[in-house]
Amino acid sequence: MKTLFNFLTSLRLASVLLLLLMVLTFFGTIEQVDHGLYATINKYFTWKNYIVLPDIRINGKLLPIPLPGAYWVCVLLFINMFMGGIVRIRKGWKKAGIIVSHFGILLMLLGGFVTHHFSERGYMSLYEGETSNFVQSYHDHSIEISLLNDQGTAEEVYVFPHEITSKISKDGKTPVKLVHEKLPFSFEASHYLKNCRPRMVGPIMAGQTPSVDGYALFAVATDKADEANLNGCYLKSSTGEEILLFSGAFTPHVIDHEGKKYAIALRKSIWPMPFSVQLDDFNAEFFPTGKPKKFESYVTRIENEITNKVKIYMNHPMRYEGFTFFQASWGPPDGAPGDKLYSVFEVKQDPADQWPLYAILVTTAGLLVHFGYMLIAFILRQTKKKEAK
Amino acid sequence: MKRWIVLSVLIALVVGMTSWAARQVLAKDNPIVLEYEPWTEEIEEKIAEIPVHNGDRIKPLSTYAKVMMVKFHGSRLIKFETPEGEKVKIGPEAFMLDALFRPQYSTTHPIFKVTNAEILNALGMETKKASDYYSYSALAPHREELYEKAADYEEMKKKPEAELSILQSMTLDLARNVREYETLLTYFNFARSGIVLPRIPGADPDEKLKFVPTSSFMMTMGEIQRIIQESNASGGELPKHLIPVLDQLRNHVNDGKYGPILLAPNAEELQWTTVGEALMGVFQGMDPDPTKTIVGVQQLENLYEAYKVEDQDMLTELGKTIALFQGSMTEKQRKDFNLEVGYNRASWFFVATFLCFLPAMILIVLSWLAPNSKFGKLLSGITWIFSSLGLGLTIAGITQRALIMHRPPVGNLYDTIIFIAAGVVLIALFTELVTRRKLALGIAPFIGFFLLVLAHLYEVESGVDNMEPLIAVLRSNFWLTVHVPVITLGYAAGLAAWLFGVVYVFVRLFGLHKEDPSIRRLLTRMTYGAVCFCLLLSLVGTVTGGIWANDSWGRFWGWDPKENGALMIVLWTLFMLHARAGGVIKEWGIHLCAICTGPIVVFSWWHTNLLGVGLHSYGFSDSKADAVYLYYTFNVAFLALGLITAWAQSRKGNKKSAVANS
Repeated sequence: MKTLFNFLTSLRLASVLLLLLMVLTFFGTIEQVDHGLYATINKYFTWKNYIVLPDIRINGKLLPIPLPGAYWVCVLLFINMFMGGIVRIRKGWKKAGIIVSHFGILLMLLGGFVTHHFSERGYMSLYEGETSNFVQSYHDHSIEISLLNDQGTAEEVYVFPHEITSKISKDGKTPVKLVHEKLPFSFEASHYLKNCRPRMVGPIMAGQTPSVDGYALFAVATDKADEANLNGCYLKSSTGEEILLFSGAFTPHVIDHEGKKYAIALRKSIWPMPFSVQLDDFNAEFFPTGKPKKFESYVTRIENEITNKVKIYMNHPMRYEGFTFFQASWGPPDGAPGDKLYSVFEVKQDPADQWPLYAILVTTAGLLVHFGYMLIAFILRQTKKKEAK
Repeated sequence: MKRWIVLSVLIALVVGMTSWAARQVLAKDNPIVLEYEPWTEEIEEKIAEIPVHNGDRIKPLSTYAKVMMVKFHGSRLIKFETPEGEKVKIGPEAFMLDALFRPQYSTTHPIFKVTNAEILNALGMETKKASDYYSYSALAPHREELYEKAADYEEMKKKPEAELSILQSMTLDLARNVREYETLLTYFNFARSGIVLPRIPGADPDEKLKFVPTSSFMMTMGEIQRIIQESNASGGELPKHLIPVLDQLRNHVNDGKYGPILLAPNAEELQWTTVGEALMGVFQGMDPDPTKTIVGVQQLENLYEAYKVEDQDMLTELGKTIALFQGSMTEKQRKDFNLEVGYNRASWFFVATFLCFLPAMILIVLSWLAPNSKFGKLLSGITWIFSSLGLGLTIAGITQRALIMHRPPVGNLYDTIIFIAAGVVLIALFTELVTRRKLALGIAPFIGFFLLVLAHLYEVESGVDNMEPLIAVLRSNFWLTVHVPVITLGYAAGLAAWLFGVVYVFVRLFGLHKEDPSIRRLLTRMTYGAVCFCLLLSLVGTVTGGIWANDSWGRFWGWDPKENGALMIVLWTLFMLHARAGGVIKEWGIHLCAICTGPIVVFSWWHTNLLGVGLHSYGFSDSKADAVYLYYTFNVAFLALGLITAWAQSRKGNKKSAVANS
């Protein structure tokens, strides 16, 4: 037990972990060139990977150099820092700065953990004059089934969220059952393709899904930028109907069931907000050479009929009720002066949003105390030596 | 004996660095002989004050000239000799004056630097050297082929994923430079030839042709427009005598369309224009206040006329031109403008490099000849003064740039180099202040000199104005303002640690520590201190960068290469400090690790931009990539040298203790 405690609290372990993290960061950086940001982050920094193999190749052959996943290195480092840098460390004025800065870094790692697991991010795109109260995810897809009324608008919406759609397999084996108690029918979902296009099936052209009305989904190479990928999958309903869902479709697939119409679509997941946002006006300014100078959105935040005017612009987000709105983009890209513009906000819900700020203030204070102490001690010693001479 | 070896190495280093820098900064001697009549100093100084609108801001003509010249010539001096044997050096202002006013001289000057003769051979030109300077007259016969090739490459570049070979992009650059230079040559054509009036039918054919200044002709534009409209309306042809006049006008518009943008707008939302654009605007009736534009054009004509007469006249007209053009600027613009004129004249970094750091380098090496004598003390005292002066000038230059641009001192890669130069020198001088052993004092001028020359090289290589305004996301945020200078100082501290580590290896290699054993501990302390500094600054810099990013686009951390690079510095220094505290590394270990800090800093500072992914990848080229790899290679060598020395000396130590034990 003592050996384990000694091991977990040791400076040697800290050194090894820090070195490993640096090496992992290095590979996590250079691999972005070939594999894109999203894939690289998912490889190195997710909790799902205990072991990673850096993409080191000689003549195209992968060298098997296993490294631990960065997430787990961070967990170990957290334990090591807490037990070694706070519990075990000798307490006293000499170490006060170090202990304080360890506290700060622990808070930062904790913040990273909270952000990693509990934050959600998406975007909201609004034309001038438009209002919205939901946020769209960048990566996650869900299947939405809406009961349509006579006017063709949704009366009720049943959602099979990303947690379910992500379990649908690539091929036809073990289809996932989509059952909702309020729906009079169910589905079996399979053949989930990360990036695909619907095309006509020919005599020598077969898609990756079963064909429906002469069409099938054809897998294409996944884009490095995940947002650009168009997902698709194959559904078979309990009534025997076959459906191809494609996230790039302009209109949902509509089926008739016992005189009622249902629209079915695969689209980016959305999550509701407790308030609405209306875009009143959007301004973009450029230098004569076309370099962007300024983007700003004037919005009205509406909650329980109480309205608030807010300006959102570069480097100045709107923070409200745990949501943060950032000026992310705008369009249309070829919009002429006087055209109706839209503004895109990145929306983030992150309980640990401001933790890094608090953490760095604590850490900086700790380091300043420690290094300042050492520097002064050194100078005093030097002057004493001189006097002794 | 050892001291002499070290001294000769150091002297060789000083001589090597100086000659390297001199070769880079000063143009190579050309045994070219040309007729030339220099401009007076007053005119060269005065022309700097003409405002030009370029790259989204108003800047002095001297800045514009400097950027052009660096882009074409790769340095700020063109050198040749007159037939009388007089040496001529042409700076940016004279270069601009010649190109605008005296094409007959300018086109013979060796202006265009071509570093690979193959691109000229491909045009059918004969060359003598692989890298050489060429005049416009020499290139002119092959101009058409050059432009054709460039047009092809331009097409190729448009295709996605297409990449031009080095020779192709060099050809493209040359074509662009030649074209840009031509816009200077023809810019004053409107003043040079004016408008030749056609003979009135039935006039005496022996009568001399009449010229009118273009500006006078512009005043009649309304009338000419009326005639054109009338003949259009009646479906008839244009009056015959009008056609040659309109042809001349069109030529002037084309000749003066792309040169320096000199004329201020007449209304707030309009942009500054060139003479060609102004002529076009007045002719098409688009100019809201043609009279004001015509006054501007007329002033440029007067300037050209005065140039032909006498220097004094030209000086007077230059004064008038400057007053007229500067009069269109706001009070604030004028203030920044004058500050920049002063900045260009001061040449802070040049003075700091060659008049401060260079003498300091020489003096400190001399002082090591006899460190404890009065002579040595005096010399090291003077080194202190020169190094501090160099630091002061560098900081003054950085401050003035920040004031001109109204932004924090670091906004682009060029800024980082001069900022890091100041940072490392400051850290070295501070270390000297604390340790008082003349070791850090010796390092300060060397690194200051080296980095400032590097900054100059970068400026020449990139050939752009390094004071252009920043894009939206880089403007206005408190955390950004903290983040950039702090992280840059963190780089500086990391490089200081690296430098101390390298010095340690050489101290041990030459056995200098045997003469004065305390030097080992001193160096270790210095390295350790620099590593601590580096950690503090990099950590604060990285996290404040994250806080800024969190305010900008809602993510504290995005695994962007530049962010990761900074994180690597933090993790590496943390590793060093923990490994040292845990006894994993000792004296040698600290220094060898410190040597590794250098490549990690350079990875973050330069290499991440080279990867071509992420938000921070701004501007990179192959020669810079080569320099980065060269630096890595050097460090592998230092590291190997250190490891071998450590191993050899520990074996020796073991033998000795074995002998002592037996």
